Amino acid sequence: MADEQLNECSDDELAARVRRGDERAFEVLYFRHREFVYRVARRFAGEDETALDAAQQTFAYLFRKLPRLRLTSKLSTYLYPIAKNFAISERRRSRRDVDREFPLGSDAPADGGAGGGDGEVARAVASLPDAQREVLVMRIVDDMSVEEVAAATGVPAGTVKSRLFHALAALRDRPELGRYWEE
Amino acid sequence: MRWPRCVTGRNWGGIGRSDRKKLLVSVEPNRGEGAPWVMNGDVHETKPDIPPRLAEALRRHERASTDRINLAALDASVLDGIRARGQRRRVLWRLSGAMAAAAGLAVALYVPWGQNSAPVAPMVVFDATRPVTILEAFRLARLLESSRAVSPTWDVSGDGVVDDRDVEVLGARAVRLASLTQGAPA
Repeated sequence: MADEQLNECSDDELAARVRRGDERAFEVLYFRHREFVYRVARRFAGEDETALDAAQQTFAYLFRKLPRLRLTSKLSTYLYPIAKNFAISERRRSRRDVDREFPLGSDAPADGGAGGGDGEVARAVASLPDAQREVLVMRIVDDMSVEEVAAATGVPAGTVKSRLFHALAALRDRPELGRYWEE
Repeated sequence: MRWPRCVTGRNWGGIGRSDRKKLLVSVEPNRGEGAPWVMNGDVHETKPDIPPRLAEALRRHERASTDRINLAALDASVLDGIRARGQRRRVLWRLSGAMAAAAGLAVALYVPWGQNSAPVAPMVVFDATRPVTILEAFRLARLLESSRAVSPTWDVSGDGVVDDRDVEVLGARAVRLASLTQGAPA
């Protein structure tokens, strides 16, 4: 099968091709989810090197598991907790002292940075409780649906909605973000 | 656009613990992507999404961490590792195939197939011309224990079958004293 045709295959079809020994199908899967996996790993690892290690382990794990893997949801939903757990364990192994378990926004520029209000948004999000911040970032940045967030985090969809609501309410209460809500 | 306010930890003002629990529960009853959002008893048909500019700022910040890293190193480590593993797997498959073929060949060459190709041991014959020793009785006992065919020459008792009785007769002959044999009445 040509590479263009492989690119049009769904994750499930590609996984089936990998099971039959087609390594090119795995490469298509890899390039399709590479940035997502790295982004999740970076989010929980807190630094680039550790995130790269965690992303590598995630794909090695996926390759090992693919022969027996039967996808019942999107592959990103399956990859999210794997990348998260590898990133957390890698960070523990590297014994770096990171205050928060989920250090999003910790490297935000203090003055807001060249990107206008990106830094203050990141700092505001970083100040949220871990559970709320996680679902907010999955929903907004990773563009996952409520059901996908629920499947990936292992909590009910109602809990995801509740956390999203409280996260947004907390952001709305921050005066420095007020202009975003008055659009 | 004015976004609907919802109950947060900072806005409880004067609500008792049991009421808080009721309010928290009332946040969650509607499940699913398209379900209306219920907060504090009010149904908000509009999904309370984050304002677009705020979402864009958050995406920009989050993706900046991805953009600044060169993922080529990750590509090399992951894909090279997968290719090497695939190569090892193919070599192992070929090796195991070759070993299975060799084992099959060995079995075909060395394992006897059918009764005709089985090596046949020569039948042991009793030599009645030689003096009988206890070893003859022992040899017959071993022959009877094994599944090998026994020559009818071992029928020293003369009853038509070669069995334990022939072993006893041979043993008795071997230990019989010559003087007793000579002195015995005819």
